Amino acid sequence: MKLNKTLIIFILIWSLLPLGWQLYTSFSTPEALTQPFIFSPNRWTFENYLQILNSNPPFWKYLLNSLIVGLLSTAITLIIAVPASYSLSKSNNRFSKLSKLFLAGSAMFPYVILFLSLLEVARKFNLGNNLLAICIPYSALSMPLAILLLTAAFKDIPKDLEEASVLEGLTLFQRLRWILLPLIKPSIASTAILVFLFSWNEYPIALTWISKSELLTLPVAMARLAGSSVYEVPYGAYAAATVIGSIPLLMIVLIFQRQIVSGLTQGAVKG
Amino acid sequence: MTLTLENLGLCVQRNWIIRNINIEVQPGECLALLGPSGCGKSTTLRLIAGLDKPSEGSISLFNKDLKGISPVNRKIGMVFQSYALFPHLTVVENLALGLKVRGYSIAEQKRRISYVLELLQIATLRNRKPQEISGGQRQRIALARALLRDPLIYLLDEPMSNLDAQLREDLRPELRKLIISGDKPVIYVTHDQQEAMAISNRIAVLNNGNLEQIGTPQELYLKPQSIFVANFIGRPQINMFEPLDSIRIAVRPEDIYLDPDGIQCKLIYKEWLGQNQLLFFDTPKGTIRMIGDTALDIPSEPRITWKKQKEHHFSTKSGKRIS
Amino acid sequence: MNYLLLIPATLLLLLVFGFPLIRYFWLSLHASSVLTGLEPIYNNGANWIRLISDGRFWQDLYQTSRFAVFSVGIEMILALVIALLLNNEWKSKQIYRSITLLPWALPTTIMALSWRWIFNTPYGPIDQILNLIGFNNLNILSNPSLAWVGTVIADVWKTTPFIALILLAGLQTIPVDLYEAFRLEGGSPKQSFLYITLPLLKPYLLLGLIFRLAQAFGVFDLIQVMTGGGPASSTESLAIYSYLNAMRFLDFGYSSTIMLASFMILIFVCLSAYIVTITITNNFRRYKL
Repeated sequence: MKLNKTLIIFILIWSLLPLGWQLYTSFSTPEALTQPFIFSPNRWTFENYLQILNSNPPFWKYLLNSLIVGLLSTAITLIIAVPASYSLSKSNNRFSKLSKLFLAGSAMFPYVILFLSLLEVARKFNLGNNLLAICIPYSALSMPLAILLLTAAFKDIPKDLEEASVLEGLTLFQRLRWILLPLIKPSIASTAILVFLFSWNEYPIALTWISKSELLTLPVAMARLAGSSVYEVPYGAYAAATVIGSIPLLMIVLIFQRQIVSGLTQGAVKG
Repeated sequence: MTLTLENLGLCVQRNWIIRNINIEVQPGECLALLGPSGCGKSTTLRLIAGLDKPSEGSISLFNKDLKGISPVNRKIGMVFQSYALFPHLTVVENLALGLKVRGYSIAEQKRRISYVLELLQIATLRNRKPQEISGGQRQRIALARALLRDPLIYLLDEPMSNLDAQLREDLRPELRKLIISGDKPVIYVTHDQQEAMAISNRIAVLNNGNLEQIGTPQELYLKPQSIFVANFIGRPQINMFEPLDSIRIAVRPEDIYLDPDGIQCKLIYKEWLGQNQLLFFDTPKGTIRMIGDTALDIPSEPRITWKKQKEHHFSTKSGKRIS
Repeated sequence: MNYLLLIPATLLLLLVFGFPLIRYFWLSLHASSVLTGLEPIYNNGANWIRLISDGRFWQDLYQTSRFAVFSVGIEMILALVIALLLNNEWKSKQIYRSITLLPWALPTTIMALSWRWIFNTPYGPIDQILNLIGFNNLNILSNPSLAWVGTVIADVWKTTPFIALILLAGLQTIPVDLYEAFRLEGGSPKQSFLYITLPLLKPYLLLGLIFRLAQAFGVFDLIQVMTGGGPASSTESLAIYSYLNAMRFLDFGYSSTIMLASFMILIFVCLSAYIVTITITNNFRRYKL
């Protein structure tokens, strides 16, 4: 048990250390950065944060863009995935097994391979530099996982419950609204958070679809920030940016840890 | 005729789940569908409710063919084996949901719900959720929901099977008072022959998807039409003797008695049942069960016999009764 | 009626997953680059012939496989250890889980940036520490023979939690009864791990393995931000190479060929990984009577 405890602590430190180092860096003056292990009272500064917050476009804009994309993609995914999952949960074995196989395959697929063709579509229909349009591929890419999770959830509802509501006279829409959706609320929450995380973090498609700096999502903005001056020393500002960029997700993970874990594990157990 | 099942059959992936079911239910009658698990009794119920579509045959209610009529329009009050109470709704919400979607006004919903809550003495449970109340209480909520449906016919799918033995006996009179002795026909699915005999006017015994026999509890008991029915109805179980000339003879344990001119046998063991005892004898014809008075003195070399007219004769080929 | 509900999802999936693969197949048979004014012209399989003789493609395939094998291999072992640790009853289980989950949840680009700073020469902590103990300027990310190790470390850090969670889910499906019954039979902890845990965990190990292999094979974000594929293309993955072909050299035909080829290789790799694992574990379970 003592060994276990030590190992756990080691793992926790390993998980947190890179983040901690960014935090440490973000409060350091440029001079202090060249000597990271020498401590003096005047090595601390807020300058890096001020610099990031006063940049143009302001840093919060990227957060806002990512938020918009995340929320909208989640909404679209759920609106399309819920009816599809309901239908799949009702379909016969062979069909649902086959579709499960395809969905699992697509969910595992390294989607970066798709970027060129999606970019062509974006150019053809003029969807580049449009935060709303980018939600379409995002929804599609998170659709397989969403459908797998929700289908499993629908299948877990006892058949009796839906039949009883049919006998009571509820229409399909009423059944979904009053009985089925409330019953799978936990799965919907896990699915929503996973889709949101995916859309918030997505990089290759955002990189190729969006070029206007005021429309960049957080991951692309961060990469650009880094790419602009690869060999320059003022890392403090980048560190401040990574810290600010991590805070929303830090909150999400802390608040919704249970839903994230159950989403991932449901996917594994049922998928 | 209230409910008529004509030549009803359901085939799933080339397997006949039930076939050739012909049943007529009289007005106000309680008909039990009895059989072991997998015999097709719940399937029959689901076909009547419209939850599954028959592969052949027809169902008609008050001389109206139910084909193509949706489950909700069949006006059926159903109690599921699991009770199928919506776990996220309170008792009142569970009861109100159906009334609401069927277009009753709020005032009317309230009136009807308070009426059944009073009737079933469950008013105190109004705002509880199904998982917060006991099994017996859940069963009452399920009954209340069926009552509120104001149905043409009640379908009860093993409504007692999730309750313990004591509670089952306690709830039987209540079930009888509320639903069974009303003027609406009731179809009651059960695998418990005692419950079926206690509660219903007639019993339809199903086996392997076939209707073995339909009749009053007395008819089934006194004149079982097949080996299966004879074995299934009546406890302690009937004595089945080894077949002779393709005829199988069966005698109920209570028709066996001690007789100095009977067959020679040996007492193996006895079960004490309270007012009487069940005796197991080893005989040349195999083990024979006999019900005897507890005061009965068993001689050291007992001989047993039975009256010829108490014998049931069955054909070994068809398993049917030979009268 | 029921199947109508499937239509929107099916269309969207076909558009985003199905169409690109067909389009790549078509493009891979055409020259479509700045030379042709980005107009596709049928070129008789020239892209495929070029691919076979393209040393950089084979080099990248090797580098991608190296990255995938090392990072997934290390991740699987580490994840199993972490899952076994987390499966114990801890007082602050929820917090432990949140913290181990964190690296996975953060955007890859942010974390790649952080790792680049950690590996920075000469100001990153790793170089600083190495300096203190006498190694001068190891230069991990600027050293063509070491840079890939840096990317593997960052990837292990980022994705181990994900597999650990999947394995943890698997561990929790195993009834405690089994272990207790086995212990009463006289089984040691090591035996119960070999004869109960591993066999029952197999589907989850497989799932984690295949999923991570597929993802690692398509690695893009991490490398693009951390090293940009350098130094001297030593960390370049297939995805980066096809990205460069499309976006920098504007050769869509060849880029499509690379992507389609990597897709086919990936399917082959995943199938082989599946078959190999199944065979190994099946033999493994057949202990002698």
